[in-house]
Amino acid sequence: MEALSSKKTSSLKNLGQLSAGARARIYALGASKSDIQAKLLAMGILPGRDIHLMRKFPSFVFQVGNSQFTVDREIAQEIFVCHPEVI
Amino acid sequence: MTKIALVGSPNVGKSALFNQLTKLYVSVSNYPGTTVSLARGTMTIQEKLYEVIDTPGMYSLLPITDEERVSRKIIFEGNLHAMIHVVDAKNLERMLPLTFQLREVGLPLILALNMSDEAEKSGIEIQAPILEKYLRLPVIKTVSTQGVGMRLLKEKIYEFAH
Amino acid sequence: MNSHIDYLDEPLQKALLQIIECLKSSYAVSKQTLALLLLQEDPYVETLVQKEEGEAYVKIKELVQKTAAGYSEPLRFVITMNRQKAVDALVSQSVSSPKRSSLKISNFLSQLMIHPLTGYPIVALILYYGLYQFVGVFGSGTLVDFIETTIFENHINPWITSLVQGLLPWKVIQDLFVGEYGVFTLGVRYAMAIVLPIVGTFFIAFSMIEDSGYLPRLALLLDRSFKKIGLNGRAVIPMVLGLGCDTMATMVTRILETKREKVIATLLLALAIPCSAQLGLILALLSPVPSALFLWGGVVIGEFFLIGYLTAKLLPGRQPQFFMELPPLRLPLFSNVMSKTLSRIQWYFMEVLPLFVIASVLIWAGQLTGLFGWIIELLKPLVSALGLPAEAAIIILFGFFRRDYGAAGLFDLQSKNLLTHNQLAIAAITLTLFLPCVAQFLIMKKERGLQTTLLMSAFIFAMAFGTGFLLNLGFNIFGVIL
Repeated sequence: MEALSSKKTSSLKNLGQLSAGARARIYALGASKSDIQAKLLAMGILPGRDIHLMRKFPSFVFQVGNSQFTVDREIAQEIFVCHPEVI
Repeated sequence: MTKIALVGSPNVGKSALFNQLTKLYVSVSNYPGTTVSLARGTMTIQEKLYEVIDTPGMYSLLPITDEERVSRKIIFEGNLHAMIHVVDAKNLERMLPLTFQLREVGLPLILALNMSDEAEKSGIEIQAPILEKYLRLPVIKTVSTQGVGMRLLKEKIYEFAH
Repeated sequence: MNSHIDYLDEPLQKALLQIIECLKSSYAVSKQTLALLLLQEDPYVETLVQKEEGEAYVKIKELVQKTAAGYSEPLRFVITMNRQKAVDALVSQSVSSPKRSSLKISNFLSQLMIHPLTGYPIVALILYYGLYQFVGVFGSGTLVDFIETTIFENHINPWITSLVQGLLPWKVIQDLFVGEYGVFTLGVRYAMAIVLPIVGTFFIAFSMIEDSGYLPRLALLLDRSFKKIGLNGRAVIPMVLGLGCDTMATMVTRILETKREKVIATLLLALAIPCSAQLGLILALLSPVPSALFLWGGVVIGEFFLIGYLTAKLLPGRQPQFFMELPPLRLPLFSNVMSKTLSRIQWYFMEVLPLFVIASVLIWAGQLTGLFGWIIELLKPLVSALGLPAEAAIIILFGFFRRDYGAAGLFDLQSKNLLTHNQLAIAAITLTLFLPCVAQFLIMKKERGLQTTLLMSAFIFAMAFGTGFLLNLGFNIFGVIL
């Protein structure tokens, strides 16, 4: 459960690669863009949390806990997940 | 005048709580030197006068936006006597990290579990005494849209803010 | 209420205590908080502590760097995760929640709002009922008629006119206050009887939309399109607000993250977003001629995206990120809506109204000195290049001082049947694109600086007349008659 270097994260899936409706667990936050990581940290979107991707178009909408967020692809690609299941 | 500030992230009903406490006289002005606007009001509890400041939304003590910077400045430099951390009772895992940060600051702090009606409707049960015991600060369930918990909140403000 | 920080792992805990040791000065904030923020390299605290501790700060900096070196992730991340672990433990002890939350109606409505097939129609619906019906028909129609006719024309105007005429014997000074463009008869009356009801109803509608939680949903629908013009979804807030009052919207561009976004948004607001005062009049003017109305809509929206796209290409800078929380939809709370509306109206009265009074004074002075007549003569050739009658020059000039003066002047011309449909369309379009009103110009100067504002204004001037000219040309060449 860490923010991994880009070498490691290339083997994981990010939120941008999941299909709409997928549920997964956040495994890591991208470390290459520190301002994106800062926002994710402040919002409580952290490794270990379950994430439910609700839609991707026209923008990404996902739920963590009892809160929903909307982001664009650039930010979605910094959320790395594991155990994706499509419902 | 005893100064207290309402602190918390956006969308937790902080403004509604502010309106409940200050009811009548409210002024909105810019924080000096910035473009961020603040609402200030007054309230009286048992004939003691308090100034209440509604700070802009803040997610953590590490600010990202100008608004957050102003909120933190008010806490650090505003000569406050107490703070009320207003949180969304349905999202405590996301809200409590800021409570932890705020209680370390050294000012009297009261935790208001706002929108507790929505939490109950969702089936979420919160044991406030356990939170109180661990955090060592007063924890009050409120519903700012209906005025629930206001009396108890004001009692605690009177008790803790000097 | 002081508490020790007990959730950090050992190396961090040790570093924290060592840093606290180094903080010899006295601070308004607890040393633990400062130390924790120093570990996370917060610039504000670093500056503060450096000032207070002087040379000892070097030791603190070293401690932070040494600690950071022991982790593969930024300390900010590690500390956040440490803290979250303690929070999660506390929550598991004190909170019990059901497995899956029940699907509420507000959730269903939310789905409708963000699904493309239903979302965009909903935007159209809100625009129709919120903007056209509430602000347009009720606000600028019913309310304005009531306040203007019943209250002002029947009671206040005659009273003030006779008062002023009784007190001040010189016609010139009388004109200043109660003449055709007097401070009172036009300035104050316009502000209270025309602009206030329109802008007031807009603020009510906007505050309701804002309080319901709809705006982030609107933002996510428009983020992709807005990215093409160098903005992101967050810009919907100033853009929608601009439909109410461009001056306030220009101020609200502060919520945009980068300077590039602020410049693009300010330009588009000044160029292509008509404020409610202007919008109401223009809609009333053009709806009898639907072809002109659609042309107007098409040209204005088209220029919005075209200029936005070109400006974004021209200005260097990276694309802004889009990240918003989606709060649950709620019924707007009356106290919230009222307090937001009232504070906005209060701002409007204090910031914008005085400028309208000044505008009246300027117009009076301009007419008196003959300066206006001179400027109008200069504008006449420009105006005829657009195929418009000479009288339109007055509208353009006045349109700068008050956008609604311009639209009202247009109304006058139309009622005297001085304009063909073609001319009506061209005049409406040119007026909409034309410079922002005096109040907006001044706010632009404050927010973006004089140089940028003058550049933008020159560009807008050229765009407005250029578009009018091209339209006229196109009409003549293709023999279009609306």
